[in-house]
Amino acid sequence: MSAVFGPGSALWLLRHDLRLMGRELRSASKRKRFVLRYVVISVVVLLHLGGLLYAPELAHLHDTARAPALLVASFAIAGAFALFLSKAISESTESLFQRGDLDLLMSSPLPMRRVLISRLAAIALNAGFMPMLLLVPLLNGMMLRGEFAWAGAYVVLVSLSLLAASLGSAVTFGLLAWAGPRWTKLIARTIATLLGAVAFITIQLKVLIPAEFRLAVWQALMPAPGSTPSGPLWWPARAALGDTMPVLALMAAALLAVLGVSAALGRAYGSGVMGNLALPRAAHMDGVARHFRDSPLDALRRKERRLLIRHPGLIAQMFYQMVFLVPGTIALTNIGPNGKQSVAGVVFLTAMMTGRIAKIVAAGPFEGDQAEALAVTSPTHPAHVLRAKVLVTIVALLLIAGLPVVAIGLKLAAAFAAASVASAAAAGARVWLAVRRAPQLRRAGLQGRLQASTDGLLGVGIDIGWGVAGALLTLVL
Amino acid sequence: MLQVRGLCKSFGRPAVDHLDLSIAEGEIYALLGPNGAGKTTTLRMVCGLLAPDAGSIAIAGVDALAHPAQAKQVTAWLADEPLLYDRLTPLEYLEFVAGLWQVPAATARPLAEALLTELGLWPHRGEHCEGFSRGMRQKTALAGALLHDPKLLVMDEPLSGLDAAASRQVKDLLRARVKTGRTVVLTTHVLEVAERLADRIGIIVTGRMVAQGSFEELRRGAGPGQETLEDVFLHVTAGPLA
Repeated sequence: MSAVFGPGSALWLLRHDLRLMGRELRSASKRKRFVLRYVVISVVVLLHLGGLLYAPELAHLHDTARAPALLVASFAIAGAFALFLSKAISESTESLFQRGDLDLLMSSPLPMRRVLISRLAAIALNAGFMPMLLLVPLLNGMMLRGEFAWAGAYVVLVSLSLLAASLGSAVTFGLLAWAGPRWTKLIARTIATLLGAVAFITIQLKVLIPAEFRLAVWQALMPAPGSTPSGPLWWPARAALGDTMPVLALMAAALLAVLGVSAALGRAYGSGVMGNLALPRAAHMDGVARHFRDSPLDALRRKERRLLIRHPGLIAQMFYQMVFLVPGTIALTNIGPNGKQSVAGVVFLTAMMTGRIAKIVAAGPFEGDQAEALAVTSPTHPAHVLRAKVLVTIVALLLIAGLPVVAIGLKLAAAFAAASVASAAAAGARVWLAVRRAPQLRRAGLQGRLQASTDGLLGVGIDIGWGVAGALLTLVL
Repeated sequence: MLQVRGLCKSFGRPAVDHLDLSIAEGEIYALLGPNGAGKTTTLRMVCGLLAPDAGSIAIAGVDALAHPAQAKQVTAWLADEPLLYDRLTPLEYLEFVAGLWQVPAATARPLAEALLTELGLWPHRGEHCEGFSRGMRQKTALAGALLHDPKLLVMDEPLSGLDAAASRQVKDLLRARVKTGRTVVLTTHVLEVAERLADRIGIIVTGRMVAQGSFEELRRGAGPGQETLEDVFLHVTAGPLA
């Protein structure tokens, strides 16, 4: 028993991780904890009320023909799995690069397989938390209605999160071995973003796909009447709808995936191979610095531009924002391709998203300035330091946000022009916020964190505000 | 206690280049070298945190590459900036470390208390580590490293950031351990520490061992006019760099 529950076991390690998570949550002030507790209770109660209200709709699935029910459930599960996998890849990438306590664990005689089992469980918990928060109240509602056939859906959720954690970790480590540490972060984040977009698009399919095409897809995927779909792709849906064998098969697949991945990666960790791969290597930059005669402003601008371009997560974060802009834009264009309202909607989305992108771009030159004191203690005029940051931020913003939007179609070019006005203002506001926020962050105290979160909320408000302003401007013009 | 033969590691360029090292039981060995000489890489390979490209490592007679778990059982690693869990108390941290090394609870608890007391951390046993100074963090990590009574203690810059009193405490603790037959391998940039603390000193440059022996042996080898370890170090490292 002690091998399973005792010190050094996978469960013991998982308990350690959970204890740390719990401590992290409890680290807030008493007042904040008090508020948080009631907010969480209220949200859980509300979600359960929603679950109870929506349960009859879901129960209806059992009454409809088996094939459409399976197809609907499969789509929902595919969307959820994409979300699980997206989060799992992000989590495993983060845990790899923020090596954290890995040195301690790797220097201990514990088999790395056990450490990885507990890590995979923690990743599964993180990846599945949000979807489960939304879906479990619904399932609880079903149980309260006596629809016990849906109990299999709990197992589906847990199994899918474990499968996602295993697959996500395997993808990350595969990337590390194949592409090396420098590219892993970028590629992994891009894949995670795409999967997140897949989940988002799955939810929005009804709006995004024209009715005729939707019907054609439905008919193509629908199993033949009277036939029982038996392939592994149908297992999750069949398990969710209460078939016993697929429930067991899915559970077995999840456990095998966890054990297989932890055994394979455990060997790589145990031999120190992953330690090799995760080490940062010096980037070999071609060419030589040729700008020793720059003016102070040129030197500052060049430095900001270089650091921004070499920012490891910048492209992925941009991409993340852009991906969510595209489905919304398509949906609005579908509603009324020539209508002023749909253009206004596109302008709203563009302005809001570019505001968010501006925040990401500004974070590099402003918050990420690791040698701020260098410029401050130099004879450079302080205004030059700020001007260089603002210029680089705005230029990068226009390049990053502008090109893909124009590429969507010339019809949107006019809308983009209006959105640019709004987003440039939003960018200015975000830059201003970033400047204000930097000293607060340096304090690294709770007060600083509170101020930063207030600024964050204010920033979102500004994004929405400029989005609305841009949309109204379009309607008026 | 530690036998390293033909150890190689390359990160594009060689970081450790056919390094040989023999450290006897009950010895304090200081590994010195300029920045980027391969000291930390060598120690990380010894502790199983990095896989060498070539060579062999034996700890207490155990082939550390073939049987890493057995080798790790008798080894402790202390990083230059040790990671502690911010939301754990020192006692909870030691409890976790005891679990990792499977130290029986009956032994671990009194040993943890003794170590915390010896390092002056007992009054802080109930505080979260997040508020600790660098010195306190270093000492907590050291307590963790000593908890399973390792035969080989591998330390990367163990005294950096410690004040004079804490530094003395750590040095005394290491000397006491060595007297009981334990072995310490450490890196340091503070040459006076190596001069006074180490029984033997190895100097590596670009991953190769360029001088090795007791301070007296190194001084004799360096020739006349090399009085301090600093003189010897600069004399020895000037050649390969030039």
